[in-house]
Amino acid sequence: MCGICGCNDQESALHDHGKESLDHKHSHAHSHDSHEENRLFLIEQDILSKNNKFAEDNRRYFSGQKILALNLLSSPGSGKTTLLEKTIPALKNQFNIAVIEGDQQTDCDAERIKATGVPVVQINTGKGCHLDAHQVGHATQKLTVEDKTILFIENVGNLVCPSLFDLGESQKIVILSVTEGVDKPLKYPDMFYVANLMIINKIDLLEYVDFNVEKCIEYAHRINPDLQVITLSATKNKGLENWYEWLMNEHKKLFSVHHHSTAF
Amino acid sequence: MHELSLCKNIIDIVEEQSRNRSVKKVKAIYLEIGELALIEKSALTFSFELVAKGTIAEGAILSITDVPAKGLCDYCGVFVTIKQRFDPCVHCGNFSLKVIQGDELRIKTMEVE
Ligand SMILES: Nc1nc2c(ncn2[C@@H]2O[C@H](COP(=O)(O)OP(=O)(O)OP(=O)(O)O)[C@@H](O)[C@H]2O)c(=O)[nH]1
Ligand SMILES: [Zn+2]
Ligand SMILES: [Zn+2]
Ligand SMILES: [Zn+2]
Repeated sequence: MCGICGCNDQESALHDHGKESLDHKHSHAHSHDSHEENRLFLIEQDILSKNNKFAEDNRRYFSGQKILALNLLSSPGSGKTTLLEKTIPALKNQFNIAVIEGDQQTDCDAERIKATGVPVVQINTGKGCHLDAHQVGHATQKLTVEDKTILFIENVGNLVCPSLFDLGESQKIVILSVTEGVDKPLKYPDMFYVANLMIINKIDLLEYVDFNVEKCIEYAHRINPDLQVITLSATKNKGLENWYEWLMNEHKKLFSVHHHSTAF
Repeated sequence: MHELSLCKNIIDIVEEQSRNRSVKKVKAIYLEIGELALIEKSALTFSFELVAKGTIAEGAILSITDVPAKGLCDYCGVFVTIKQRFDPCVHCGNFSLKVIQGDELRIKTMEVE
């Protein structure tokens, strides 16, 4: 049984928790006369409420274990895996690091992370275009993540669907690369609306492409004035220290909360 | 196509709600979908037919009511109808509108037999 959601499914998180007792109902059906009226039930429930409940379970687990869970979101090819390949060796002496890799089909990215020597679990979503909280809960169980870990969750490359699904993460990080155009935030406002941090990657290419960093940030702030921004180049090692500092600060915040709660 | 997984969620909720209520069949499901919610209605109805097959909601009508998007300006306190998340306030021109309605993805009611 899994400790986060309490279900018996270890392999696939795609099952649902609601089907068990469905069969009972037919055996109780009694005959009705043909004039029976239809009944209307008030439901008033958010369609995402199931996912949100799993996300709350994950969040409770992450905060109990002092895990900083970060949901990495972007279009395909913005450089998420490359950034992790840089970040892990730079920080793994200071932090426990673990990775959940979401991809529709392949496990290439998981192999790349494995090479860095930290625990990684692959979630193949198949046709699914996003990770959901239940999948992440199960993947976390497989990782046996140690306390005080930074857990990177690399979501499926897609700027639409993943924005709807809370995974229970501490922060959502949207990664945009300068080859994608300044108007990405306006085209995919929901993603930038839910994100806490925007990373603008591949700034080494700024001299070759028509991309105005200021303008991109201004667009993003129209949608989300509180969005933090870091510009960097994952391959050319520019601006990475700002990213590491951001991570250390987030990690520290988690601990200061801890100290407070034990002091009283 | 997150519409597919949203439909799985709809069916889960409907099955849960049907339990212990001697429901033979779910005939219609009424949704409220905000104009800013990332939903392609045709994708939703198409996905619903697929996902509903073999469940208590097979053949049910999915009825969708649009909820208009509204924002409140942080700056001047006006309440305005908006079309997009990044619309400026019609009064002060600032990009300071907080979306307060239009994100809904809600099952309101279901009609059963
Ligand atoms: N010039 C340049 N190229 C980069 C940078 N970061 C990543 N790339 C390249 O961009 C390509 C895609 O990088 P990945 O790290 O695989 O991107 P990803 O976001 O993990 O891709 P998906 O998982 O498929 O969504 C690779 O060829 C990288 O070498 C950068 O800072 N500058
Ligand atoms: Zn489960
Ligand atoms: Zn989708
Ligand atoms: Zn205003």
